[in-house]
Amino acid sequence: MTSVRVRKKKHLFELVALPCLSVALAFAIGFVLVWAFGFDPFEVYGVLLSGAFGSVENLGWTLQNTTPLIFTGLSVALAFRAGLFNIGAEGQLVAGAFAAGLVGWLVPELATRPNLTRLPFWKSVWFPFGAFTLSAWALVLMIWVLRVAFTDPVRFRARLSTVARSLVAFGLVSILWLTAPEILAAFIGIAAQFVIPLSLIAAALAGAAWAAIPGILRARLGVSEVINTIMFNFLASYMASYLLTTATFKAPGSVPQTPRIGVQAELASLASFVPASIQHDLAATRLNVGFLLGIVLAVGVGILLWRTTAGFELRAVGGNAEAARAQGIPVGKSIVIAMCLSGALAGLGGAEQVLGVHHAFVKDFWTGLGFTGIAVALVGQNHPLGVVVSAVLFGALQNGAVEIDMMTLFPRELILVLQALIIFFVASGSMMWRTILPRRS
Amino acid sequence: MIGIHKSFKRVTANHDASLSVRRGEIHALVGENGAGKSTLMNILYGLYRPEKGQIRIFGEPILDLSPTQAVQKGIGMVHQHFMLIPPFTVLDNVILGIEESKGLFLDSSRIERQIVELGERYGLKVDPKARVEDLPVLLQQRVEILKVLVRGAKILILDEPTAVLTPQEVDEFFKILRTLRELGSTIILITHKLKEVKALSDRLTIMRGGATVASAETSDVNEEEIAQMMVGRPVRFAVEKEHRPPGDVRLALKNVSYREKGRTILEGIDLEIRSGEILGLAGVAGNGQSELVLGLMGILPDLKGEILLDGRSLSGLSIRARSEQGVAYIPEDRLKHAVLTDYSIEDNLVLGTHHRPPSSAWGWLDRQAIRSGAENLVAEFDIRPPIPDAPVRHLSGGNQQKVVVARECSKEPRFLIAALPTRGVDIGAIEFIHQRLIELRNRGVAILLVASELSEILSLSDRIAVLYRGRIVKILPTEEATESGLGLAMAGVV
Amino acid sequence: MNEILTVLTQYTVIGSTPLVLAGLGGLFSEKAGVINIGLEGFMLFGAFFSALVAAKTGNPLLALFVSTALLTVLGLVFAVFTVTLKANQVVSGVALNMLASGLTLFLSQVFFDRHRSFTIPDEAKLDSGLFVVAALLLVPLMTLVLDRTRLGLRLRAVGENPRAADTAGISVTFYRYVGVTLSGVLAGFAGSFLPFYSGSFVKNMTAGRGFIALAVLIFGKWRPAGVLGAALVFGFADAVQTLLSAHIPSQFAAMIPYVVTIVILVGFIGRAVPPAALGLPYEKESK
Repeated sequence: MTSVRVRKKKHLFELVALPCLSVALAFAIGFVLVWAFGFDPFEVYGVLLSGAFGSVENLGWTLQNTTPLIFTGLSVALAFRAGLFNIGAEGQLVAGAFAAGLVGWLVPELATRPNLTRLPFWKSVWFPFGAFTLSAWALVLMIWVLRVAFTDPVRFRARLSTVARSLVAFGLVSILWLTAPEILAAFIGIAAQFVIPLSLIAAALAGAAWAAIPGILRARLGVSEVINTIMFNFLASYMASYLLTTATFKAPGSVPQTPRIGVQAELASLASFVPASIQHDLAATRLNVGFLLGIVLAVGVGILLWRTTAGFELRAVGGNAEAARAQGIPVGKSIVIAMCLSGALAGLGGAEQVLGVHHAFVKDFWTGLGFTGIAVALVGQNHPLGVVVSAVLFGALQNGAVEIDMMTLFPRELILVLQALIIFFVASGSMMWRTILPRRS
Repeated sequence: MIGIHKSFKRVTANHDASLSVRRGEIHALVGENGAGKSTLMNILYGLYRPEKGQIRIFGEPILDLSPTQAVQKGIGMVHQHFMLIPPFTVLDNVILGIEESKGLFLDSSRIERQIVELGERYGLKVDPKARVEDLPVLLQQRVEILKVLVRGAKILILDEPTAVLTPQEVDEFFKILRTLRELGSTIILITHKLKEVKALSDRLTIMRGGATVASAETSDVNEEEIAQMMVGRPVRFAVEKEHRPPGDVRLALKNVSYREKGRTILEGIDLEIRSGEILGLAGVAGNGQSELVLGLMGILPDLKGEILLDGRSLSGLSIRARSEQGVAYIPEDRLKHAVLTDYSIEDNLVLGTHHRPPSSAWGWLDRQAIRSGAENLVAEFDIRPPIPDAPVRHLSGGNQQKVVVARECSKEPRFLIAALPTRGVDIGAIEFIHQRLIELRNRGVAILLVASELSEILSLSDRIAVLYRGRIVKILPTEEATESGLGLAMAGVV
Repeated sequence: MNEILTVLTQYTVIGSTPLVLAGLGGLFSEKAGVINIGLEGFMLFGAFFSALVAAKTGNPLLALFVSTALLTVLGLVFAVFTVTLKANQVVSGVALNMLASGLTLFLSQVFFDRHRSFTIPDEAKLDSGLFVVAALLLVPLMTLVLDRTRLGLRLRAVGENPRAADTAGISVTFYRYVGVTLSGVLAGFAGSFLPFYSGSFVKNMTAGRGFIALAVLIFGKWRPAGVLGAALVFGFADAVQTLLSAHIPSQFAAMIPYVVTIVILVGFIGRAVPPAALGLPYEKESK
């Protein structure tokens, strides 16, 4: 074999061995930790493992935990490939979940109501708000046109097509605004049929939008997306918290959550697709087709990254943005696209949780999903296949944690500690293992 | 230094290298890029440890040399890329590592006085309180030398010190070196500029392929002989180039200027390059060449004035759009602008055209087409190793540059900018690249060649323009150009 | 009106003190060239350990002492990962925050009978005035150290051009260790302020202050006096939030500091110049 091929094989080996060794080491330290606090490590680890994989039902719970981690893991991994640290997957997940929860609830709900055109919403919110926005837009347009037309006619003529397009857009939006009630009434029936795709699209858009702002700030102004996305996480969390206290969005009852989504918006449980022998066990969990969606998206991300022009450019930007730019790749655009896709993936993860698991947007369901997603992406070496495997690992850990909580007196936060240790060991990468393991000749 | 042996992983940098320098002489260490000169000197300075060999300084054998020890023994090194902290003052830069304190706080007054005194004695005047980032390169170099002198260096190692100086500044610099020699210092000069070797050194040692191949009194050898020993075979200094009448004006620059942070970097640039012509842009680094080139490419967007390619304006076009108009570019900073080191050879070969057929269609990459295209180019340009999916990181500098040249040539450009195209490239690849440039010229491409080596400019260009402080101060056909005339122009004397 | 002003001032001081301390910590780390996203985690550890010892022993000074010792160890460990093992600094910081979150809850349950939060008896509390004074003293002290001592000069050199420092015979590793460890200690000290002020330790009580401290650093242009000024601005935002929370939904009030952070970050990009080698692990060429 040529030296290049040997190096490639070695590189691949390192790619797989490194995370495995890191996980093993973290587990070893956890073992010691359990023992140091006076508990039986074998018992605790035994509970962990059996809780994760011990029975069909447990496996179902594990996979249920895995599902959102696939989404957030892919989200973070994709962003990493473009050289971006998307710590904001959690906030994007919240945005997507909320959007899905809204659409999943409202569309079926409205479909059952007659006289949609007479909803108080139109008179109190839609028309005033729209009138305000449209007049402002019209005003700005007029002022700009008048100013440029009179001061710089040459430039005005050059921009005539833009002006024309602006006017046409304005016209279309105005028409849509005026006829919105009628359109809604006419199409709500159809919409209700397609509520799942609609919810998913809404979730993806919401997640993308929540990620777009830090993305644009990074692309245009060079503001670090690290701190920004963390801030946006807090904002999303507080926003959601607040909305769940308002009468518009909170369902009656003691639990802070939105009203339940319509039945047609629910993601089918995977239990209905498996052989009868295990069906009953799985039915106890909320494992749903969202899991399959996650797998499909993992494949999609892989195809995007390595088979498309957009993926090529994204990875180039992640490898060396300066060189990419010098070679004509629109770096700013790539960054924004990467963040939006990343946000969309996280948003879809939120949709799965709302549509498949909780069937409503429940307060604080999202805690930890974003940060765990970072761990998943890292351990999975930012590769779609790795992300899926690593998501299973972390899903197992989380499920095991619940079991530990139930069956032993040991604090379940052990899992968080294990996660952090895994990240440390993977992040120190080859450097650490080269010092600990003997040199391969 | 006797029988020095040093390798890095699988690369042998020094193999049985020996060097002997007499007290009080200026000794030139000559060789081309990669010959092992810098490595050998880094060993002498204690930065690297050799696997085999002996080092004796002033007769005393030294084991386990470290930089601190080397300094103690009187060795000082001025690196090719300055080791300065830009936001710090000159004084802070000099004291770093040898700070003196009064109680808890720093007290640099003694060293400050020493800097002033040394400045007078050797002609190295600098303001100790000035911030290094505000100083021109010439003065920054003085700071580097002062650092070494303040530490009491008797043996000075200078690594390619004239790379950043105009010919006139080089003369000034030589005066300083001669003063140093008169006052008792020993100087080892690492260089590949043969004219300087002849002008300045007393003796020289030639390195090739990690070994020392010869040692001589400078007066006993001439430049051709030195070059031959450097390369191991007779070297062609001139490139064969047939005279061709140039075609129509392909690229025109009219009154191009550029300001950055209030400073004028380029002003009043008027240039025309015809198809089938190589215009060489001469000038010391830092006079606006980089900005002109980056501006032409669109990487720096704010060039004012007209830039016309075949009559069509390039201003305002994105980098990709310019590329589609037929502009190609060999960047001066390969790693920063030209290649993605973690990508494979084939991916780098389509970088820039990856979004168009044949490499892609409707957003999908056609890996077959990319692979076969790469295989052709790898064969045509003799890129080693000839494995299209090898990461570019594993290639030598020369081969990396060949990838860049292959890519730009394959775009069939109408206008090519070659900025320092042979920097960090070994001689075999240099000849190859020069051939390619001539070939493109013969096929009617207009080429702007930016280089700092006058020999390269003189041998390749049809016409030469000199850039000084952002202005074209001289422009003339190559037949009428002389090195000294160009040198004067490069220093602003027209 | 007068009353509002007094309250505002009081809340501003209370809000800015931990930020000044944590910001100074971050300053030391970043001046040496290491990004410390883990300030939040260090703060949380500091809050937890001091609260733990104070609650168990009733001795606040002992609590501070133990907490500082433990945070020195943690800082050293973090330095091992980021400096010696050259792990990605941002990722390591995120991991440290996760570790802090998990470990503090874990240990809280171990020591307090499965409770995730606990209170500190009154006699074990430290007057917040101590922290304010410390913050005010540390600002000029740090300025002196950075500008006029050997340690400060070398630390800054290591953060601007580690290769140059290395060639001058200065150990890049040593000074980065100093910077990182000190940042851990200072951030821990900053964190201790929180439980002593409020009287209890609750889950994740730092609530993002560590991240805001990073914004304070950028806003303050990486200078101690700047950090003080920036922290006051954020403290003021915090104070406004506390006052407003009676009148507007608490969640909106809570969002104010984060929005301010974003605005500051956006407004200050390009005008603040970080140490040149920030975030880049130093690769020494093999000997």
